[in-house]
Parts: sequence; structure tokens; C-alpha cells
Amino acid sequence: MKRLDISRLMDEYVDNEFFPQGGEAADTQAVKARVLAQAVPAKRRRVPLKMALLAAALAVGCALCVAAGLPGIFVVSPNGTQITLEDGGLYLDYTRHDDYWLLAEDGRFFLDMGGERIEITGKFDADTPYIHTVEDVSGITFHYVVGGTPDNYGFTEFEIVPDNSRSEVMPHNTFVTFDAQGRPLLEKNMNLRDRDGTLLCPSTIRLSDFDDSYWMYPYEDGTAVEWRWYTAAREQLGFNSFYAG
Amino acid sequence: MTEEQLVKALGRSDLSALEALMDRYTPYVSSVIARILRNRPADAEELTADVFLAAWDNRDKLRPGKVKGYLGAIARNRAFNLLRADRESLPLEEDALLLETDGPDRELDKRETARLVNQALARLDKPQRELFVRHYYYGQTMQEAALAMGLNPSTAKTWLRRGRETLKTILEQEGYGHEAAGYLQADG
Repeated sequence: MKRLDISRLMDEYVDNEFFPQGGEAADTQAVKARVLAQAVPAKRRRVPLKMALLAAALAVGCALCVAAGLPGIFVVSPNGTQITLEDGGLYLDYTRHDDYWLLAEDGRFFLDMGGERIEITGKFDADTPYIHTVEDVSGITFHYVVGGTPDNYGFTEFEIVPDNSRSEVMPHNTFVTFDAQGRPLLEKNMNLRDRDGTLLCPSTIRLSDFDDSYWMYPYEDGTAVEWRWYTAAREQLGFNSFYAG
Repeated sequence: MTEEQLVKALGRSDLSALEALMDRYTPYVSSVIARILRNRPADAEELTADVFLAAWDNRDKLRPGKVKGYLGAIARNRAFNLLRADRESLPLEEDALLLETDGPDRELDKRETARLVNQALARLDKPQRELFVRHYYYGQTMQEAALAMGLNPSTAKTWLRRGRETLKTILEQEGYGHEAAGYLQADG
């Protein structure tokens, strides 16, 4: 006689039909705070020389935080670049993910979609983005966006969750668009606002405790640059501009 | 980030991937836990965090397309374990299926189990399936589930029996046992 417990058999069931979410759901940010306080990260390599220019660009804004006595770790890019303020100094840890989804090889460009390689050479320019849209098994839609020139290209991605609760990459703190030189992509005359709508000074870097945060910093000369392909992608995808001013 | 990329990044011990995992699945995991624990929000939050820590510690085991199920299984087990630790028994109506085997003992692997369970549930109409899920997945008492669904307790009892019989039939058709004469448990 073989005994099977139904409740154990149901371990392999996934509820996508009746109560996939809702009820007394826990606060995501509170959960993240608990988990990240205990999870041990990967060891990071330091590449201070290569990213010196980026560090210099941040120095102005960081100095304000340092002066205020505010320590912090900022996760600032989808490829894991991390800026750490310690004892008034600025250190840049650059964790490079060599197999990120955009590959540039000898002037040719490819999207690496988890085994599927899509060549997109010549399919984007400074005004026109290339957008690749995927819906994965969990029902989330991803728009992968690439634009610019072969010598000065950038990329970003947008996530749309099924309930449309998130439709903009920027509000997700680990996703910020960078160009090939590591410069952030900013709309012309853009000002950044936090979730309460408070206008943030362009030279302010908002501290992140691995929760949602928004930040921006100026170029060396303090001006912002418009990336037309990025603006065109947002318009094409129907995203309202998050930014005012 | 697709799930394939997410799993890959987790495998590289990328903390931003862990954040993305929590952004994506906290509502589901916490919902599963909250429905089992009922009226224990502080415990629900702590257990939800435990689930993701467990996933992080076992990130090499995550597979694309299976992440949600993996997290849900951990969530259920942690929640039920907490209830047992608090000496709360699981009020399940006839949890055991007894199959008389007439050949080599076949073990069900996870994929096979998922297929058979889903096959059995698909044969039930939606209200019956909901009742079965409320009771056997979320651990609601038959009375609670019946009340929530506006069912007469006798109807609920009948529906649960039908669900058990359907599951048993599926297992037997797949060679996991055969129906012995007189085996079928009488309703209690």
C-alpha cells in the first residue's frame, strides 16, 4: 500500500488562478530590507582607474552627502556599478557582467536573450531606437531598448508587470541608462522627482538602502544631454514622461 | 529581465537580481503565507523574508520557469511548520491517498507530480477546484473554505471527495497504484 499525502502533492501546484497575490501581502520594501541585511553579496572587483572619470563626475554631488555626514552605498547601474562613500572618500566598485543582454563585437551588435542571439547591427541610430519586446513565463513584459551610434550607443530596459504597477525603468533603483562611455542618459532640462513628487536638485544623490530611490547627477559641466532615441522609445512605448521641468 | 536572465544573475550572486526576485514574487509568496497563517501579519512578513533567504542560499537550484513554484513550495512548508510549532494541527479532510501498488514502487518526481496534480485539478470545474486549492494548498478548514465560497458544508464535503477521487484516478491511470476493492474511504 502506498500512501501519498495530498497536501504534499500540492507542493508542486502553483496558484495562478485564485489567489496569485493580494490578501494580507507583506510590504515588499520591508521584506527586502530584512533579506538584504542578511544576504551575502558576491565579491566585487575594484577598477578605480577605468572609472575615474565617472567618479569625478559624481564627486560634486557626493561631496554634499559627505559633508552632511551621510554614509551610503549606491547601486547605480544595471551592470552593477556601485559607489561607496567611506570615511569621506569615494570608491567605485565596478562589477562587470560580461554576458549582459547587449553584446558589441567588432562593430556588430547583438541581443543575448538567454540563448537566442539576435543581431541588431544597423537597426538603430541616434534618433531611432531598436526595441525588442518579450513576455516571460511570469507574465511580465520586457522592452529592451538600444539606440545611438556604433561609437556612442546606449541601452535600457523597461518592465511592465501584469497589473501595470510598474511601467518605467527609472523608478526601479537598479536600472539606470548608461551609454558606452558610462555616462547616464538624461533628458534635456530634466529634473528628477521622487515618489512624493519632490523635486530633487540635480547635484543631489539620493541615498539608497537597497530600496527604491531616484538619483541623477550632472555631467562635468553641469548640463544634461538629450538622447533622442531614448525619448523616441518612451514615446513609442506610450510611456508618459516621468519628468517635469 | 527575463526569468532566464534573473536565474543566471542569481547564480552569479548578484544582489540586484535578488532584489528583482523579491520585487517580482513578494506579493505571491506573502499571499500564500498570509492565507495559511491568517491574521498573523508580523509572522507573514518574517516568513516571507525567510523564503527569499532560503532561495538565495539555494540559488544554484533555481531553474527558469520553476522559480514561482519553488518559492511557493518553500512558503507553504514554512507556514505549515510554524503552525505545527505552535501546536496548530492542519485541519485537512482526509489528506492521505492510499494506493495499492501491484508492481515496482514508482516514485513521483516533481515534474510528474505537477503534471498529475494539474491534470486532476483541470478535470474539476472551477468552484470545485477553488475549494480543493483552498483546503489542500492553503490549509483552510473545510468549514472556512465553504463559508468563504458560500457553500453548504455537505456540498463542500462532496466536492472535496470528488477532487480526491479524481486525483486518485489520475494517479492510478498513470500506473501509481490500482483501486483495491473496498479501499475507497467512506466519508467521515
